[in-house]
Amino acid sequence: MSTRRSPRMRVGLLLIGLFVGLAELQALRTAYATYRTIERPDEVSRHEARLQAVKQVLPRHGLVGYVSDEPADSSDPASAAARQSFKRYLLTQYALVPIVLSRGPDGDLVVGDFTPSAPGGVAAPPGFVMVQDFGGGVVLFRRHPR
Amino acid sequence: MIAILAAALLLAVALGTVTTRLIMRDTGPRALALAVALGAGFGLGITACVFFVWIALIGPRASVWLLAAEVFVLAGLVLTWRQTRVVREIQPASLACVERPPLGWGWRLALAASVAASAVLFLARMVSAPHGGWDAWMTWNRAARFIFRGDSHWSDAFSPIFRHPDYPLLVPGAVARAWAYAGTDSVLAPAAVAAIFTCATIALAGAALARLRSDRQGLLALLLLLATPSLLTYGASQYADIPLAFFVLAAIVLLCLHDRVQEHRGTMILAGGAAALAAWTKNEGMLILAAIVVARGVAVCIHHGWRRYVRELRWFTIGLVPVLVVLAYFKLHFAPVNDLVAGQGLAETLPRLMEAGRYVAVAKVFKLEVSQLGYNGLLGAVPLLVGYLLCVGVRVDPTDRPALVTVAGVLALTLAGYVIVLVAAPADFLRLLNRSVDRLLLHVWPATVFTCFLVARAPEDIE
Repeated sequence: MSTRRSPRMRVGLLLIGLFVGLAELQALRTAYATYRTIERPDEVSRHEARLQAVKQVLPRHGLVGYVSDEPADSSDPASAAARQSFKRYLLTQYALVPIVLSRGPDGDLVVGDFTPSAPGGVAAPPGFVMVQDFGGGVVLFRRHPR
Repeated sequence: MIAILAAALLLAVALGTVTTRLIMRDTGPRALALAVALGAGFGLGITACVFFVWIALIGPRASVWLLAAEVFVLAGLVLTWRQTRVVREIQPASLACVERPPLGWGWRLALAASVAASAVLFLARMVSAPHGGWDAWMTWNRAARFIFRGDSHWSDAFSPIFRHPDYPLLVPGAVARAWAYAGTDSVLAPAAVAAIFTCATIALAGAALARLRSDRQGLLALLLLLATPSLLTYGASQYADIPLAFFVLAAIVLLCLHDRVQEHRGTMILAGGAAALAAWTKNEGMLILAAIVVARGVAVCIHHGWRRYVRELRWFTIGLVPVLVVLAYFKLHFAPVNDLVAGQGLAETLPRLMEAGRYVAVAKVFKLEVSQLGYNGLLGAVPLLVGYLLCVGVRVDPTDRPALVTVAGVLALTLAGYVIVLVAAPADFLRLLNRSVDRLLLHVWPATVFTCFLVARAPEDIE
């Protein structure tokens, strides 16, 4: 079928053609860059694997506390440090579902999520004693019986 | 396991497609494509809704009975559909078909290349983060895991300890339903749900324009949406913003179809369902639902009078109410107070709303994000659309006018609502919310592209 389009329609279609062509080339470039930097396993799966052992000894449900050595910079919640600390807490919560993880030494049990080989080692929160060190910076604390 | 997951999701899509086809009563291949695109989202949405009601009332352990009920309902719908095909001639007038030139090889090639490149980007993103992006594992998949793993304590998912524990359950429900049927919480389920919604959103815009305008017009919209990277990357990141964009687009498409096929109750019922499912997807959906009701009221009252609006509203409500009842049940019985709203009294909010600097800051972010939407290193998608409309011109079908006024109203009210929420937000929230403006724009982007191509002159109009 022969088609004779108006010049304005030609320009319009050319615009869309160029835009889409360029966008798809960019998409391929982004996909290649993403593929090259893929980590196996990914960050979330790595975090889950790290917490696998502590998950086995936690109760089936209920509230468990969470402490970490990453400073939760409450003065600037948008700072990179605060974001990183919050992300680590969220990843731990995601891995330990259906446990509800409270940020802080709440409940009778507290999961410690520390940087492996952190200087100064692992310190129990006040009023808690260490139950088990699972390695990789993952520790379980229990509230000290009064 | 993969086969069971696929079967669970296909069952939802089939339920949605057959229901949509039955209600719309439209025939032909383009109508079928439209029903499949609409049905994919409707199916996942409705089954997620029913799944939530089931576990809330009966418990999470009896999901095999729900599966049986879904199969039974699908069989019933298919039988009914076969019956209605026999009496097609007595059904309400369907949309008149316009003469359409076939798609040439150039168009087909462009589509194939675009789909291939977009699929590569989508898959690369998905493989790089199989659990999804930050919001996916913080909110949606976390809630789905609670529902699946929590047993009788599944409602711990809504503990006030979490961020946004009051978010509605369409996406977590769809994912948890697939996990419950498969018996395992594989990362494939949320990825598949995300892929279905992303594909359905893009396909819906194309199929609706092919039905309402022409195949080429539909293909142009499809190409433009495929060329919007954020639509693909947020889709692959399993964010609920894409399902929300799907339901916004679905509601608008169905309102346009309703105006083309006079007094078609089915499309109005489905439009109500789409608006309600938007509210069941994200809290922003409630704002969009209100915007649709108000904008449609104004549009119909201007063009046809208030009696017609009352009539329309009756059918719209039939689609709306069942999902809204479930949403109200969730909000009143399970969800804590929204963390954005909590602690924000009038005394704190009013001074923020009076602060001109906040409006300027929000306007700057919106301006930046609008220019970045679909940016390909040379040009953004919004300037491209404007340039395209200026080149080809606009041709408005008089029957589309109420729908177009509705769309304009929905877009304006939704964006105004977002601006007010951002302006009224506390200082720390303002910073966080500024990061989400690109996603807020995505909620209305597919509907905007659809509307632009609905009014733009089609290539065959001026050949």
